Amino acid sequence: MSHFLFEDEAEHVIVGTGAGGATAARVLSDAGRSLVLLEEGPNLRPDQRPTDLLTGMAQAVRDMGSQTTTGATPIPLLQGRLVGGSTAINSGIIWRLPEDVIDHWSREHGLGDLVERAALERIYEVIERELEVAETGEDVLGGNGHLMARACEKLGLPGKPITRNARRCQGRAHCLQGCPSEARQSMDVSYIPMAVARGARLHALSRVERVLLEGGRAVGVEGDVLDADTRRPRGRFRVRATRGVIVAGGAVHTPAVLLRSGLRGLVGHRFQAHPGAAVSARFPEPVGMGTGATQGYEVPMRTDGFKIESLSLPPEMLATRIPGAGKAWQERLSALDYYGQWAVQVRMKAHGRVTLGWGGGPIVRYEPLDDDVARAQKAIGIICRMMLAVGATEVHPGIGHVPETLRTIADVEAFERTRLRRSDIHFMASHLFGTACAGSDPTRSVVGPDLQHHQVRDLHVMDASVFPTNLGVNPQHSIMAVVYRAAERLAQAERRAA
Amino acid sequence: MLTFERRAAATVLEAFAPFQEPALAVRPGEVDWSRAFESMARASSPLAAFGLRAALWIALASPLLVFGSLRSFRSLEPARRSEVIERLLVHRFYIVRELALYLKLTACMAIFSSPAVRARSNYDRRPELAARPKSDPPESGSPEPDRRRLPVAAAGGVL
Repeated sequence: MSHFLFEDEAEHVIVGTGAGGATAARVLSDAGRSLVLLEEGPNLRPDQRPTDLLTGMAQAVRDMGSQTTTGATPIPLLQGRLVGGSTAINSGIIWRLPEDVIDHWSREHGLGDLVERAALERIYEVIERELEVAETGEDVLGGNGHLMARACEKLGLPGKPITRNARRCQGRAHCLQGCPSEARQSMDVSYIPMAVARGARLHALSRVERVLLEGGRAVGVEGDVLDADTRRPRGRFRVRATRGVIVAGGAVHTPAVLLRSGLRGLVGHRFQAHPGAAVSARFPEPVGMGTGATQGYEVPMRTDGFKIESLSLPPEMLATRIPGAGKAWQERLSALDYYGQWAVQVRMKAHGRVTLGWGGGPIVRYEPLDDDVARAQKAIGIICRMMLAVGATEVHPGIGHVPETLRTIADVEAFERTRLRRSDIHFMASHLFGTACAGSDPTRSVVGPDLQHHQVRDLHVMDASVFPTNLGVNPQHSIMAVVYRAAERLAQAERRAA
Repeated sequence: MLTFERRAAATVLEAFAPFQEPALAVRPGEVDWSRAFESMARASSPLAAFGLRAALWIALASPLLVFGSLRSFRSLEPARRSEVIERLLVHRFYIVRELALYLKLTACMAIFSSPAVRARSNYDRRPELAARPKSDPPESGSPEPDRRRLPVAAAGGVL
């Protein structure tokens, strides 16, 4: 009798159901492949997801966002852990792979075929049509987005409405907790159901421990079936793959799976991120962050190394950012709908590394460089100026060792003159890259331009961990396009071989 | 969690928002502080759960650390408890600041998981604010920022 709670078999096993894994499933199921999809988190319908963060994040976000980088100043990593991965908790922001990144990857990493412009163009059009990509409309920009638009007009900044995969957005500001109107086309409501309709089998609450290797090729995976309530293992599973295994667990968990499978080399190296920080401010009239797109407006400043975005977070998170405790804090909370919040994502130059801890879980070593901190400070200064430009009466930069509240331009100038240390800024990171880099040179990469492991046949990595660099823009669309291209080529190669 | 820890968690978290007059005031019995603490600890990574417990103990020891007083946290007046918590939130040691902030996040999770408080916050969906006219806000006391002094080449920043 088998000691596995379940066993399964398919041509391809896909580990992870985020932007990478779901897109691979969409392409390979379209090519007629039989698939098994494995996801560590639960399968939650958007209307089953609670509104309050305490229960909602516990269900959908890995460790409530408390998994951090190690080092003197830990950075929390926000990653979705449910069917749909981080696409089910993000704002669905769509940016194509930047031209300079395409050039760099082609020239320095031999990825010209993978990111060939004409092919990507065709793929973008398919994805953008299927995922209902559109610019955020004025009708759902919300008070927070409109304020940022006005600030850009006043200061001559290059702001624009954010393009998202949510054409039917009703402005309910619930992206993080799961879009209640299912307007955001995250993977759990788009490519995963599409693949399942074509016969793919989805196993949620199934955490892959390692890839099974035989004779130099990947033949399946093994792992733990998790209890829905406690998330503790309640048994084992095994899935065999006749054609191969695709690992798409994200830049932290993909290298962990590979390392637990005995694969070393450069696995885990070149971890990169876009850590971000938020600034909140009180305005003289209601902003109403609970209404409108969670993120509707942005100021892309890639040449400066950062991007500013409106960020209407749930009240739990906004209240945490508002300084103080006790009476003064409560007084501010009583005017919570008068607050706006904008954030910056910094394209950091720092590189880190993912290794395994004692229990086999991932450890992320990462520390921003002084230059990264300086760019974050510059961006935060700009946000403070933008907020004052549209009438903010109190701006809270959320920075240690500087005043909690800035009220005038002179205050902002004093802030900008302060030399910040890394530990002064409360960073959080959700865009993670590297750790299983793609490249044509096996001595400098983990997988080849076809995203197949250099040493192990039929083992592919299809998520942001194959990106040799970070991007400076939100990565979901780039992940989907690159994976789409690689999965198409995999299906074609299999067809030729047959 | 030990019963003592549960009680201590409720006392410390309540110090963030003791019953006061403002509209959002958290009324006695309205928020289950210890359940929030327990839920956060259970859902967090093992290291973060340890950190949350450490934060609780630091808060309990804070009368000694902050005021040099041998009084227990519970014996302080509510306003004094809040003052202690505020001092921890801006403490010069990074780790103390971060752990205090983690307690504050837990307190906020507790506060807004109460439907009554949430409704009073007036934060959730207000359709009339979704599409606002792009007009300038009313004049406030803030001086107009000077565009010429903005430290960025705005047009050059576009992708």
